[in-house]
Amino acid sequence: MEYYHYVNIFETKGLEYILVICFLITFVIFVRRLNMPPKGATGGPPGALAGGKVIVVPEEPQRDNHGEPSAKRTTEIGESRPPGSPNS
Amino acid sequence: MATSADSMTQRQSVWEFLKGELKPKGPVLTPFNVITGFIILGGLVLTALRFWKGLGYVTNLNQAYPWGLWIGFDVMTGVAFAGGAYIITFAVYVLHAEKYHPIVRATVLNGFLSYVFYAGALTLDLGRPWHIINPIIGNKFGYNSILFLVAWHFLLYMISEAIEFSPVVAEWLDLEKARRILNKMTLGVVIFGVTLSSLHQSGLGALFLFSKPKLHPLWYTEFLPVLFLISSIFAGISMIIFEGTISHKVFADRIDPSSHHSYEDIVFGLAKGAAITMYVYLFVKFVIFVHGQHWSYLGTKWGAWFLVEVLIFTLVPCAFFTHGYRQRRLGLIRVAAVMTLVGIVLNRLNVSMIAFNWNNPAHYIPSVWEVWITLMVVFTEIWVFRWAVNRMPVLSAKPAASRH
Repeated sequence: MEYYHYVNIFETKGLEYILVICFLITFVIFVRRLNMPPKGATGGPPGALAGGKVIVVPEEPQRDNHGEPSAKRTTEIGESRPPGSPNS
Repeated sequence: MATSADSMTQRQSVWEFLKGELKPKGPVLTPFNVITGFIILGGLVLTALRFWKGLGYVTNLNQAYPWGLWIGFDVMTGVAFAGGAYIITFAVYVLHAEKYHPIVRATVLNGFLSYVFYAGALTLDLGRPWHIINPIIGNKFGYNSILFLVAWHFLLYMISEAIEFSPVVAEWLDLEKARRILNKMTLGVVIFGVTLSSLHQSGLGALFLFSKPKLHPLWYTEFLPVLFLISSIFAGISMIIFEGTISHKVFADRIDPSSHHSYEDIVFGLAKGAAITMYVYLFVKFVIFVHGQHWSYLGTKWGAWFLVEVLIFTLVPCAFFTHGYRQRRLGLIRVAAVMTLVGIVLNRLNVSMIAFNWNNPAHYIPSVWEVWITLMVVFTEIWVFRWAVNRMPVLSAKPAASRH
């Protein structure tokens, strides 16, 4: 039975530093990727980016024809705005 | 005179109520009840024999293997599975992650029962079980032992969990004043419980720090406490998903319709938490592996077994959780949860049993009776859980009552 096993802790130090740096970088990428909406989907997974909240985007009232201002609508993250709306 | 008559009537009505609640609800002779009832009755007989004739009568434990299945599965694994309670209460009461509120009661009940039954099963494994009280009453405290910490923590945590769950009992018994008082204690008890949990989850890993010559190098590390703590997080989360999936099918009629809608969202959130924790765990495991210079062991059968545990039952479920969360696939998340639970069982059994005394020619294999008694403990816990859920407002709060 092996009772004493000496490990040269400096032997792997360089590799361990590289691993830790790799982890820190990949962890950020992993969490960001986890929060990104899947390809082709309009809405992200629950809680993605917005922390689960629905963002209410107020639109500018249509004033050019002196009509009624359009009603506020809710837009989810990832949903494209209708053509003609401000900043579209 | 009238007051004493009133109190007697009240006592009688409470007694009648409790007697009524002890009666079974629903059909008794179901296949599940018959099979598990048989196992429980047989297990009780075996337990009596164990205490009457001693450990050697029903177990394969010996001087080389004083810790067997009851420690490896009931205590090590059971306590890890109960980790969901401290994760969820921390998320809800400290981080104010309110979306997990609907599962707090069921999770706390599950955690409490796990500690009572699995940690309670520790008494089965003690050669002289009446000494279990020694660390508490000061008959040789043994405060330089990790078991001292574990013993006190188990006791205090069980009390904490009981207090956390007590508002539900008060609500069930219509004790409104008591419920309000107990509710006020929740936050303090949760903080105390989380502190205890994080310490004794890691403490269970620390129990093996002294066994360096006995535990296989692929599993032995000075960071065992850290690994036990991190793995208890995703073990607890996976248990919540697993238990929640079954509860939502079995107790569908007892769940608030609103909870049905939020349940999927809760599972997705839990899957995300599990994926992140498993990612961290895998990294820590890898760095420990590199640091220990264990490459040469990978070519052995122990290496293959280690890879089964780490790759198939940790890396793959991590990928499943990630993919399931991103693609919103509940089925995949459930598969990942089950795989994670198997991985945790493997990990705890590897550390405490399988890879323990790995170079000893004689290996410990649990006897049929040890497995039987373990099944008895598991099924008794399920029966008590079912009894409580069918009677108390565990899966849905009473309409008149405020939140727990």
